[in-house]
Amino acid sequence: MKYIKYVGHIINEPGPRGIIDVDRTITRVQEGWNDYNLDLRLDLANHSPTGFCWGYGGSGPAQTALAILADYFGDDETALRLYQQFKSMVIAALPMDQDFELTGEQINNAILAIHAIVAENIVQNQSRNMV
Amino acid sequence: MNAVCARCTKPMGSNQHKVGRYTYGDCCIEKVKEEKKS
Repeated sequence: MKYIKYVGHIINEPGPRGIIDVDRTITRVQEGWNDYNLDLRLDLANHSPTGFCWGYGGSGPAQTALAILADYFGDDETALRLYQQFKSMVIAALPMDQDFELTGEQINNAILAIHAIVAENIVQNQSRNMV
Repeated sequence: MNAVCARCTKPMGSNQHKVGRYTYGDCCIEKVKEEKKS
């Protein structure tokens, strides 16, 4: 796969008590294709109609995880199956107050790690059932 | 790079098939082609 990355950007504006985080966008950047901003994909799951967020394990990060995976894989069912674990493993660990870049390789590695955890859980459950 | 199939998300082997913006492994490319036809 050609180089691909998702760029999370925080739009700040000056407010009466300092800088205000007014919006957050996620842009897909891929060699050979036009950049575009991701849709929230509220049609798949309505966690955060007010927008994307990252850096903790809440609803905004869940929306971010879902939107990224739905775009990356181009398959809604795949995104719905994996996004909660992807949120916990990747999106929650991003710096909350900073922009981020997430490469296709990082996403692939996270998905492979999720598969490994799921497989390990299956083996452990089977072992418990045999005792 | 540890590439994964865009359909099943399992690791892809050396054979990778690009369809539009997405890349599929031998595991799923035939299903994807069939879906594109229909």
